[in-house]
Amino acid sequence: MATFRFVGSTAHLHVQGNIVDLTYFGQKVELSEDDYALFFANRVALLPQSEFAAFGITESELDQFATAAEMASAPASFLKKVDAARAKFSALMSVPAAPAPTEPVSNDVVMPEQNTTEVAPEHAGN
Amino acid sequence: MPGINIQSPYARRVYAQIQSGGLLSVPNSSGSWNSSGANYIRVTEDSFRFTPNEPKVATNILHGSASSLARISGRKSGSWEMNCPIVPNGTQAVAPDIDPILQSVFGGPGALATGTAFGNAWQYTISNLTSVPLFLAGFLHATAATGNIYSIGSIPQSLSIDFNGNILGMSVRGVSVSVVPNEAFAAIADVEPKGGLTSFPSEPGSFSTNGAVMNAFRGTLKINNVVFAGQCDMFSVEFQTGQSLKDNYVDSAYPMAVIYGARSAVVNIGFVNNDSAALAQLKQYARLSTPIPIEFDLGTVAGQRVIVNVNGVQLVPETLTEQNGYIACQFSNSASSVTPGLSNDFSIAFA
Repeated sequence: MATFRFVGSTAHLHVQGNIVDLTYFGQKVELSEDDYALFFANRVALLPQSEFAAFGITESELDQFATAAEMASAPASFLKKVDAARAKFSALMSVPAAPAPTEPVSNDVVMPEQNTTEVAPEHAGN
Repeated sequence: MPGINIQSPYARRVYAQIQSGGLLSVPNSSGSWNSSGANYIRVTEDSFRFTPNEPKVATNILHGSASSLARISGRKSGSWEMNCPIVPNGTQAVAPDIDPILQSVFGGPGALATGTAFGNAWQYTISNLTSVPLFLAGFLHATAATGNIYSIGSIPQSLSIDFNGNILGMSVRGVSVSVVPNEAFAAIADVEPKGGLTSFPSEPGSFSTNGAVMNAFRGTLKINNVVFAGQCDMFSVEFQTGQSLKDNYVDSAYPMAVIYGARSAVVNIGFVNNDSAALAQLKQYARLSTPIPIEFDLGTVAGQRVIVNVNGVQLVPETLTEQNGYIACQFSNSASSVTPGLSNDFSIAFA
């Protein structure tokens, strides 16, 4: 399991029966590498924690300006970091994906253990 | 009737996947469906139709009675259609969830367009004389034994977008090599409908959706680079891909190749008739057969913006009809055109 950060506007994940709503910038989500690979292929705007951290976005900023409504009054310095994080994800997406293999592969349907996904508690209820 | 479970369409989840191995090959691992790259598609109710086209053929043998003898199976194929909302990813210049379908409609992948009037955009433009066959699957969630169906070698033939509705959506329909329900899978002896599968696909355990459904109104309509503000009350586009499937082969009951007919985008535009010089100019263009570009830009927030372009539209002269309190001016069934050698009649961008 690893920590990822949502940099999009809204997304909805079904992870082996668990549902995660991603509704605000910087939202944390814990995923297995297999699930991350799936969601990355499906263009969910997630960045690994280490890459997200490189933009220098503080938890204090996220507490104040993470939602779309809050961003309307966010300072330019924060919005610049948001744009940079989104541009990073967009750049990752602009690389053509490898075609789906036909033979042989071993990752048909990954069945990880249950309850593998957790929503970061600090924004629960947003 | 005890023991019978009536199926609800609301349990259905639809997935679209590019058949990178070709028209007759489903991505698989030793016969099991490989769902890698399959996107969950938000399909609206009452629009999901996968139809097998497998007629029974009369033998017409004289046998001393006017009653028919048992028929045999004829050639086989399938068709499909669905409506789905066009939902931008939410992040600028990233492909939407309907990416596999749009790739198939345009005959190739989208690409990053930089420096457009809308900033960076993920843009689908026509790939000439190429095709992207789809594997489409509809699963009744948590009902593995029944009600699941797939369409192999699916090729879109038309894409319709009706702007100005409450929800921005598209209607797409096409043909396929075969449509297979899970109950019949084991009874099918032909190899073509199975595409390498030895078992009926299972519903993927995980999926995602990106972005929020948006209105199809509150956009900016630009015709020949002139903005028509407060005049247009109808705008729709129907893109005929020109793609179809070649059948009637001596060695197969099924279609085996994609063929390419003529394509075009057809627009219908309606105005509240008025005395503006811009609308008068359109009426003149219609008589002069002047090809003009049309652009519709929907949304203002980065990541939630859709831009449709139809080029070289030759307006069909307008009809004026009386409505309640106004006169409607409609340019109907007006088709796109290109200059020789180009294929830029239609595009969709997500910015």
